[in-house]
Amino acid sequence: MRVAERAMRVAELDIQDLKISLPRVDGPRPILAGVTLSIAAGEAVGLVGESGSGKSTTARAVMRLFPPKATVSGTVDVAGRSVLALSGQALREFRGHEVGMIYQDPRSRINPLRRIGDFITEGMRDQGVPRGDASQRAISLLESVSLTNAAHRMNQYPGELSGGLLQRVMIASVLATEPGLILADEPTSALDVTTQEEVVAILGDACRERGMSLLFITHDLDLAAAITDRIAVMSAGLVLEVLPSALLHSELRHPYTAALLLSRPSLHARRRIEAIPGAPIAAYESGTGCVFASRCPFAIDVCSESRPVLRKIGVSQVACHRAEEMGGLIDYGALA
Amino acid sequence: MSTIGRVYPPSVFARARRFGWATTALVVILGLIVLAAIFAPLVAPDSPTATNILDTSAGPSISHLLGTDSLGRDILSRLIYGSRLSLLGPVIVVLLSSVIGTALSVSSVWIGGWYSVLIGRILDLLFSVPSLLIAILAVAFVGPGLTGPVIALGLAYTPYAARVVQSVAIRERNLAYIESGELIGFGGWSICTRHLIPNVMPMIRAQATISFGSALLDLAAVSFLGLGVQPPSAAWGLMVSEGEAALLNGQPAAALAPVITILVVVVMVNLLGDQVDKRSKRAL
Amino acid sequence: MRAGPEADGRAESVPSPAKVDAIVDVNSVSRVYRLRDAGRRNTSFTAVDDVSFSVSRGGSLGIVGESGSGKTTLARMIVGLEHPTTGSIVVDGVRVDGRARTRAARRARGRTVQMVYQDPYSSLDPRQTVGDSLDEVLRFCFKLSSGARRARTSELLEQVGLSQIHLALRPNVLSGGQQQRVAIARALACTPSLLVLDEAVSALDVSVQGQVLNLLADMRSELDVSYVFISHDLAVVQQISDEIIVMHNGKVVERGRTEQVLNKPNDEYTKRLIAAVPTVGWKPHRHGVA
Repeated sequence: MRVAERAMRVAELDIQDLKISLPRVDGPRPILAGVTLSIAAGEAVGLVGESGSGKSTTARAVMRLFPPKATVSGTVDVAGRSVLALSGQALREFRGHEVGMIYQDPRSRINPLRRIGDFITEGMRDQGVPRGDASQRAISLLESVSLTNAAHRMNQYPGELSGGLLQRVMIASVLATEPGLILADEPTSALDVTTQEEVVAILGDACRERGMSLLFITHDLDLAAAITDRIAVMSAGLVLEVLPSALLHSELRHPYTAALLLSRPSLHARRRIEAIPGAPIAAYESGTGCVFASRCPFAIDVCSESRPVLRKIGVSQVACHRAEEMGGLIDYGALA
Repeated sequence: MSTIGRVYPPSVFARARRFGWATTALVVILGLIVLAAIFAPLVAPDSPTATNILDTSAGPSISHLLGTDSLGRDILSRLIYGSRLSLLGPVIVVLLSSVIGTALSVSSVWIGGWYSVLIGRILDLLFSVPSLLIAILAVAFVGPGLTGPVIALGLAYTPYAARVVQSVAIRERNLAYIESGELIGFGGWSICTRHLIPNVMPMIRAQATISFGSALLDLAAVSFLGLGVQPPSAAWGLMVSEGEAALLNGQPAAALAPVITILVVVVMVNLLGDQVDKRSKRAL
Repeated sequence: MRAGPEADGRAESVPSPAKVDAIVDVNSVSRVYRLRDAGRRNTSFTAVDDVSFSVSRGGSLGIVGESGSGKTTLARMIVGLEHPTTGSIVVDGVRVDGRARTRAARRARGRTVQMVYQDPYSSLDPRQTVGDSLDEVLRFCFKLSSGARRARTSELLEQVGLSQIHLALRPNVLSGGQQQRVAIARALACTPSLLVLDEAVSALDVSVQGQVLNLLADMRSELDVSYVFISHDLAVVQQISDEIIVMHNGKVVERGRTEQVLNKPNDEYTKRLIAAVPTVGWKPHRHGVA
């Protein structure tokens, strides 16, 4: 059975100290400053961050897609194999069949001139599956993402479907090649909230049923907590905290994670928002110390001098000089 | 507070480095050519019209760096003096077509409705006329010389400028800052002149540089046919046809020099236009 | 808040209409578009269907709905960028029916109602510095000397949490939050009585969103301005508006005080919307096939 096979394998995704920088006239500009992240087989991990955090860059790095002229160091392994070492045919097969990516705007990723059926079966036919079998699989996949009249849908064009339906088609197509890892880059940010609920429910079910790992990128902490096993919080090209989703509101330790939760307005009552001062920074704008130091209410001298490393504390990994004290300093009651 | 983006450095060398050495070289060389045209009397070694029957179709020498033509006139001097009309003509063509084209397309995008349809039809009409033909026809009406062809070409090139400007104008017009200007109460004319056209200007510039080359070639063709600049004035196209006789006499300089000059100038302007175009696209 | 013609579930205590001075009065407004469908048949699409509501002076109304609910069309009708097919809209005592036709009318309208857009970058002219764009607006709206305009520009910047440094900067070097602050300053420059904000914080990062929401709340109490705030984000609307109307397929399905509606909704659609918002302990559910 596939799930057991995968569980016996090494981590589905293992990123160690990934650094990406771009050449600039006045020196290299870092985009990722040393990202470390792992996903076990069958696990769903949320990657949360604001603009410039590098979350999309990290996902694209897993597909071995880098910005032009980028300098890359560190390791990115999928199912034990190094992605960075791939090239040519092996890379094409990897991208087509071993990892799947779902994007924020499906309409710009699906050829509007070809039918839905062609889009979904393309990957399968590439693997050598005969046309008839591929169509059958496609129809059952469309049904599994709650699309009625699947046979009819196969003949439709992308322009005939709404954004939410198209995103389901995107999910179906990614599932078609049975990859071990799915990367979802803000797949619901452009959708209505009711459609979003439907799409993430479908995505979560699909991954669980097939034992696939999922990297879910979003800016919405609560959304990530709802559908993943663990959450990683990124800022300025670094992972600042990783912890189990269920324990997000009770066990978080990094001041940035707490600040993110606090700066969200509440659905039920009006209250003055504890906004984080300043604006989210990109990797190249941070100095030598902690990337959050300039905006952190708990910052002390050492915070602007040396960069804290990601280390294990209790159930989480935290990159903060004051991680041990944070448990006592954060008002967990105010976070809910 | 964080800021994104760079502050543009003011010094000339930094600007040159930003634009690349190739582009800077193009600008410098073309600039020198323009200066030579403006200060022709100071730069040219001889008078362009001084004939010398004793020294016709001579090869290059110290006193005549490029030789003489079939009437004994110094080729280099004719080239330098000729650049005045040969460069001025295309400049006027480009100015005319850019101004009219921009006015038509921006007003069409702003006003919309039946006006837009009408302008579209007018531009279609202008598109269908071959530029060289209309330039020659202009001579039939106005008489030989550059005036007729320049105006005619100005009109013939208008739809190209208009089309290029229109696509960018439509995109800009739909952006929120234009609409917020309307909400504040600015009138159509103010918004178009103060906001819409300046943001469309990079495209206009790019198109202008590219059509300069075509205009130069078209006008040179008109002069070559004897319908444009009249002898004894100097113009590159005219020099080519005048150089035919010397060519047949075994002295190609009189015809080759203007041909190569036209070629070099057109290529350089096109390359420059390419750079300008790339830069405007990057900024979009 | 005036009760509209539709039947609302529970009875709300409504302030006596005669005493309440409304800044916006929307009366049975519909917007119908005539189209040609794919088969070249004439058909119509109703974006806004018989909507009525009013906003009291100094008040803040949130309009929520998903895409296709008609909320943006409604907002555009209030500022006069579109005209209602039926019904009337009165803003600050003046009827608004599409674009103002004369220069004087445009100027008067500009001093009454302004809009803040979703995308901060495209709502500013990329070639204009912050100072110039504010000065341009001031020059149009008021007869002030250049010194007075400079003073007013500084005042506006301060009100939105920016400073003198920003005067000479162009939008491309500003962050999203800063750009939106400039857009707000520009909208306030003409001292309008009503500000219509169309998803004004939706494109901002979470941390910046909080800052701008605080700013908007502060401004409403300091300046004499009312808000109509359009958003798909219920939590944001809870934060910024006193009253709320929920739109679905062009119709108002629920209305009332924000705190009431979002905590004790009556309408099925409102309940569904609230249930779909990720919060602590929330889990997504599949609702059916499409």
